[in-house]
Amino acid sequence: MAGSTYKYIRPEDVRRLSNYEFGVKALVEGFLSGRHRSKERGASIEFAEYRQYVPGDDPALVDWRVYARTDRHYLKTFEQETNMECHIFLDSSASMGFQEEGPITKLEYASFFAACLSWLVVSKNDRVSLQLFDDKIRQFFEPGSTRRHLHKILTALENNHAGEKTSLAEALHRAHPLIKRKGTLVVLSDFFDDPEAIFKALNPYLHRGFRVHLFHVLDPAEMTLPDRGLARFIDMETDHRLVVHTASLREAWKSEIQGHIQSLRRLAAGRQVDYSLALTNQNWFHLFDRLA
Amino acid sequence: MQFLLANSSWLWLLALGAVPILVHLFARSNPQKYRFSNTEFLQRIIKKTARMKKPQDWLVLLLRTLAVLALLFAFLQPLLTSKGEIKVGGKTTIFIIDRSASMAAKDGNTDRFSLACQKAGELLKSSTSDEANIIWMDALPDGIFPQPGPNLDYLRDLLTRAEVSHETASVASALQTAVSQLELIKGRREIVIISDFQSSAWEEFKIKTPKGIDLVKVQIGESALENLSLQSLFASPAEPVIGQDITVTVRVKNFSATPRRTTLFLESGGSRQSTEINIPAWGEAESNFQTRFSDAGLVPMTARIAGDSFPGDDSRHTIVQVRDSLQLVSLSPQDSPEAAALGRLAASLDWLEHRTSASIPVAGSCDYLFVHQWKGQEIEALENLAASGTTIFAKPSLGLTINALNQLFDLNLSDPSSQIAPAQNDGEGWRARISTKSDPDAPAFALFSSGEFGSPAAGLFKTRFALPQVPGLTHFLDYHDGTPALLATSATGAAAPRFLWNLPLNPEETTWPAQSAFVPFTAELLLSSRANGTADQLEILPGSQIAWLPRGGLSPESLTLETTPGTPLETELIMTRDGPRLLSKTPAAPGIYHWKMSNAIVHQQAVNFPPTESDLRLANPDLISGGEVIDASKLLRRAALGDGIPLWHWLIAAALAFLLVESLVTLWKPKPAGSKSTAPAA
Repeated sequence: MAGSTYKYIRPEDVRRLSNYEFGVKALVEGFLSGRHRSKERGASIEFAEYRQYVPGDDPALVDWRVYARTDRHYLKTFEQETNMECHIFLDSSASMGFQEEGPITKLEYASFFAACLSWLVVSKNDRVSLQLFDDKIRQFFEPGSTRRHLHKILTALENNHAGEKTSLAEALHRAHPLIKRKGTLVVLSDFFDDPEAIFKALNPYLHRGFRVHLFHVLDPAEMTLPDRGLARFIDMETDHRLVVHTASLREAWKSEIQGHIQSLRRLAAGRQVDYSLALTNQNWFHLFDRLA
Repeated sequence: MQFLLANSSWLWLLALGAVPILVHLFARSNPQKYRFSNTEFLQRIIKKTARMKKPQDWLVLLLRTLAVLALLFAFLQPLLTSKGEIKVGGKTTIFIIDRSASMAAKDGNTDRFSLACQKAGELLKSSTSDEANIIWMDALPDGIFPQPGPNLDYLRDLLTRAEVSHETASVASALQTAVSQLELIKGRREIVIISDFQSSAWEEFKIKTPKGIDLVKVQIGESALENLSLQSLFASPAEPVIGQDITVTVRVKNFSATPRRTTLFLESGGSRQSTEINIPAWGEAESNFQTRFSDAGLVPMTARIAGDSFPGDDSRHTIVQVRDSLQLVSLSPQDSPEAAALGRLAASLDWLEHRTSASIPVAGSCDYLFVHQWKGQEIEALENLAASGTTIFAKPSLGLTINALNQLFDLNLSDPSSQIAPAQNDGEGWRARISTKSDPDAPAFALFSSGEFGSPAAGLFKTRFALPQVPGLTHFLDYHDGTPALLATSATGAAAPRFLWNLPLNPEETTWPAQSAFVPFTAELLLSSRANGTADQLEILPGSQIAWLPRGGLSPESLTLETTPGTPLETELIMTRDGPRLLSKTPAAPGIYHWKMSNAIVHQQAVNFPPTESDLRLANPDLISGGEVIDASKLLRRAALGDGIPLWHWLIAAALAFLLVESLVTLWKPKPAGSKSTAPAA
């Protein structure tokens, strides 16, 4: 992979990722037992703790030696070690094709991160899945951990392009039955959608125990509204046209976009969802810190 | 309170007030396109701020428009006057507007008279006067109203329709008319003279107005204009007989600092002659044309030069009366031998008719009057006759005093009471000759300069009067002993010369009438002694009415008047002591006018441009004593300042204030109605 020719995996990224001590706190259940510490208690060779027996516990788990010494029923619990399963949702709507102040489009930025994450997950023998969506699921790659699977994902990312309108909530809703095992859900989107609807769509995942990371990808220009004077704004998704004088709306725009971010941040905090703002003029490697 | 605009001619500038609106409309119509990730937020923002933003936009547009309008208004120099509210006594203004011929000169595209009327109109509009009047300054200045009146609108309306006249300006008369109208009026009185202050009319003029009458001079015209002018056209003699050679003299004057060359044309009796003429700078040149006419009657003549920027004086007209014959009247008994001698003379000349009369004929009825026995009687009648163009020949008689000679011939001989004594030569008789004091090139001696006809006074003279030497008279013939035989006064203008004839004509007293030289000499003498005269009676002063007293049984009702191109003019009939008189209803403009009866021309008259109006140099009104020189705009301002306020600086301040408020409004950002984010549905 060091001589990679993939668009979104550059040799320097690979070198950097190779040294990356990646302890994903989101890892919950692994396919390969013993590889990752699981919060699930279960069969394992790694002792976790003793706890008092309560009715309903498996009597086979009672540590009879402790019972002999203390005349009390204690269960000996072990940490369950599993392999990681990471599900990447990549927003490929038209608005992700926007580029103004950042060096690349939002879609390219998100694709770089998705590619690196996929590579990292597969390199640790964990499984990664990818969904490319706009207002519908355009492509879905089931979880896999092979090099071939990684190749498919990277190729799909390269061939991906900004498409139609966004509906993240709809995409999440449709993808839910496709994901069999709980794991880490990484959503890369500009989130130009109703925050309430987004989190409503995330609820089923959260109930199933998914750990969710939301990466809000924005061009820096979208934070301030580019100064274009009097201009006819054409919506990249809906082709809706609007004549505005940017100077007169910039402050209101900043306020509006900050309000939207705050709204997402507030809803995420309430559901223990990790939310992170990713501006395209910043290196995407810092996003891995959110996963550490 | 009322507004007036000092620069009302720039009123069109206000149309520029629409510029901000047009910019607003057209700038929004085709703005730059920009593809953006999401416009829903923008829509939401606009929706939230629309309630404040739209009024804000309209307010900004309004403020910008007001600022531009205020600036434009400032350029128009508006004045706030208190006309109609504040009355400090009454104010009466009389505008004396020069409409003499020189006001037709153009300094640019507009002639001076139009500019004068325009200025007067503006001054009237802005005037704080309660009453006003306009006096046209031409040859006969007259006011629109007999006294200044309050109907200023009528005066303004009249100014838009006024036309320049072809007359000279009678400055003194115009001022006198204005002063006489103001004399009886109380309150503040003002005379405003609007003129080009033509140098020829104003340079020597001193304006005197009574105390209490303000005088303001407003000059129209910027500089002297170059002009080439036909100054005069006259035929000599003015009333030739058929076949007589006449000389038509045309004078051209150059009113410019550079010598000019032009072609001069003369049209007369269907023929056309031309000649090139050089005129020195600020000088004049004269050209003579020779012509003669084969038919009797009135012959119009027109001289022209190539047209220039002041065309009024580029042509000139005259009417020549071609006569069948000239009338010689002998004031003597019909059977006198001397009258018989003149009768024989007339019989030998086709163009001369002779008759005798017992009394002095009326003026205009004869060309020559021979007083055979003048004893010094009826001097005044003879003078009048000479002044009207009749050449007088006075032959002394017994009892003639020196005093009578002094009176008729304007002499100052001594011993006026003494009589002139007759003399008798009982011998062979006296001989006479061309006076040594005479001009040998005089026309009367033209035939005798070659010697072909011998002496003009050949023959012997047995009687004569012992005339003293008479200085001041032109000598034609003298007796050999120096006694004057034929003397004359000079012809001046229309006045004919007066001859003192000291030669007998009675065949018993002289052999001269029987000499071959008698007829040619007397014929030449008669022809050359006619008054130079001008056809004054056929020329009408420009601006006056064309008038004619039809004679010869012509019915006035059947006569019509036409200008040269055949345009009929209205006439009116008035009864005078001499009979019915026809008058044109409109003043005469330069040209030739025909009186017609059944399409036949029965009389002609000419009107010429006044020569003094051709000099377009302007006098400096500062140097004309009296009054204050002020330009029209200052007068407008003063009129407004009388009880008004100039508003331009307030308007500039208002424009700046509007721009300041506009900036503040633009900088003010309305807060959206709800800051809470409620993202729209996808």
